[in-house]
Amino acid sequence: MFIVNIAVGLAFLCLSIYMVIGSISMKYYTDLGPGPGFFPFWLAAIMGVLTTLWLVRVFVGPRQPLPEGFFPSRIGALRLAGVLFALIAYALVADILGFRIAMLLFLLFVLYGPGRQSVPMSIAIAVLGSFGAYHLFHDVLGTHLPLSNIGFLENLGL
Amino acid sequence: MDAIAGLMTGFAGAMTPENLYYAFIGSLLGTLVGVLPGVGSAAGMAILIPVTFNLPAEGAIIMLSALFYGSYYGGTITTVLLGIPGESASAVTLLDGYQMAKQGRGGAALSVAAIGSFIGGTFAACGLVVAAPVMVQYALKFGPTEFFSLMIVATALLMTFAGTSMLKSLIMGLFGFSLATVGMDPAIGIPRFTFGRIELMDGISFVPVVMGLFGLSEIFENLENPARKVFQTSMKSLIPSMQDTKDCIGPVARGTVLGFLLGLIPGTTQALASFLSYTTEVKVSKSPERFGHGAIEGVAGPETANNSHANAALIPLFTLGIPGSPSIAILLGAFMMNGLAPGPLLFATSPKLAWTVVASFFIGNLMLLILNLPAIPLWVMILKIPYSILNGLILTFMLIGAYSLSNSAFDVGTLIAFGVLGYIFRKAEFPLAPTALTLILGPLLEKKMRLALELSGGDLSVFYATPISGTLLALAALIVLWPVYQVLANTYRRRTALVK
Repeated sequence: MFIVNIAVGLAFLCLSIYMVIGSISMKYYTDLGPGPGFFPFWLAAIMGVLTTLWLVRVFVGPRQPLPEGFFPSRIGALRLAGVLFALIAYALVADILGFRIAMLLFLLFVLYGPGRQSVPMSIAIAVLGSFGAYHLFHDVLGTHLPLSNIGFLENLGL
Repeated sequence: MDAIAGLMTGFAGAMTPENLYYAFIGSLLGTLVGVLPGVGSAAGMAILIPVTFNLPAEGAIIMLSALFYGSYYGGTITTVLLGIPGESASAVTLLDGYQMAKQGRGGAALSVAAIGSFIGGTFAACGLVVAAPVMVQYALKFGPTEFFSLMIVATALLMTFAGTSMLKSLIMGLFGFSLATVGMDPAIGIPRFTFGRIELMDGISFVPVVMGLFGLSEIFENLENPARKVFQTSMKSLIPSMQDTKDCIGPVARGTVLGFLLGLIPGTTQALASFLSYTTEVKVSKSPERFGHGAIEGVAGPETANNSHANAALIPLFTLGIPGSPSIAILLGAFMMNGLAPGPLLFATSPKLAWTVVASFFIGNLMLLILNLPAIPLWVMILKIPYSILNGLILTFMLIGAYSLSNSAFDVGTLIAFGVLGYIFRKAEFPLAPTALTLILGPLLEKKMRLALELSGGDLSVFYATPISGTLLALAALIVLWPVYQVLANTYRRRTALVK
């Protein structure tokens, strides 16, 4: 856990340094009272002190081994990476392809790939989760969902 | 409006077909969330917030509240029948509940748990009715200084109970406060830490952050493990025997009181209430050797305590506006999204809404009691659906929810980023609860602090010179410093022993 604790501690330390610098550039105090920099400055300063204490404790204290199962198995890691990739891809293409097509592709990939479902099952759930969910959320609940801005898909109302 | 008159008005509001429907859906979804192992109440609430976006404020809060306390009913079903804790609060029920199920007494265990949960939940709801007007009277006298100090106490308590390391909890709490500073400054209107992004001008949205930290990161963790198989134990009858009923009276009574008292303290968890109830039952039992081998008291006490706690934990939220757990912070977020501020002013400015929601707790608990037992086969059937399909559908909900918040893919990105962060924090054993709580309390805390300092002309003594604020801050200091004192005292004792 030593490396993990150090890495997380350093990330927090960097965040607090960035916030201290950022808040100094804002007004610390105004005629009305504390300015926009007051609260973030003290937060970041306290976070910096506590993170430093944490790092000292990690360096000085006994080094604990990584708990069992800290790293996922190869299959687990692949599944995780697959879903993460699909999520990022969905976020990037949802506004271009529209919700229904983007979600259909997302679910097909997630269910057939990392989910290891059969093709018919993946298609059935993907249609339900994309076109069905669109009907439920958009048509019934009135939630706005992205539509495609590609010509022919737009013409199809997708 | 006195409590009884208020409650009667509340019942009139809660009994409308529309609100009954929302309570029913909330109870159903809550039970589902509880039934599914690996989806906690906070994650479940975060995932399902989008369902409430287009509902009226009253309906949205009734539904989310029912979802919150309903999840604790659902957790028991999975724990008793499958030996997998559906909720962390049900983990202790596993010891005797699963053994009972193996002996063919699963039905009795579930009945006792549901009845105990109903009694505990209803008692706590009564407590809210009695306590609310009294606490509101006191809270109305609070100024910004007192509210600031009260929020500090709540934060300190949560950090004390959140994880094994106080330092980690404090850092995570400050991380949440830091996230809360992003966006336009509330007083002067200067952008802070927005990186020039227009999407960040209103601050980081609470919903995708909580969905990511609790929901998505939990899915990421579940993806690591191989698929679970559902083994169902036999269930002969749902009706407990006369002896079972007699044995449960004491544990249910003790669990109700214990859960209620713990629920009033922000930061304590339902899991703690269940655990303490279990240990209490073992201690008071004349035959403690039965525990762990199917003692019905080991199910009745903890299950009552966790539901009593869940409902009692709503008292600080409704009367003081203080959330005691991530799930309740999500409920607070739902209030805010609907333009409402829970706390003493809620009963003064929106009494009908406040009492309608309170009355819905009684109705929701009753619905859960009626719903739970006959629907057990349905829940077990749902558990047989492959996890990959459930995950796919949950992800769909999350992506819709994050997008529909402000019709922007930016919030989807926020969801994914915080999902990854939550996963890393889980691996590094950094508690997530303080971040969720402080993210939502941050803007309120800053507003009250700045207002207090503006009113006092920048005099910091305003925080410790007034008796209420001073006492609260002293209490917060005590809460934070007590573990430090304990560590130092233990080290000193050990050294003295070594010297001797």
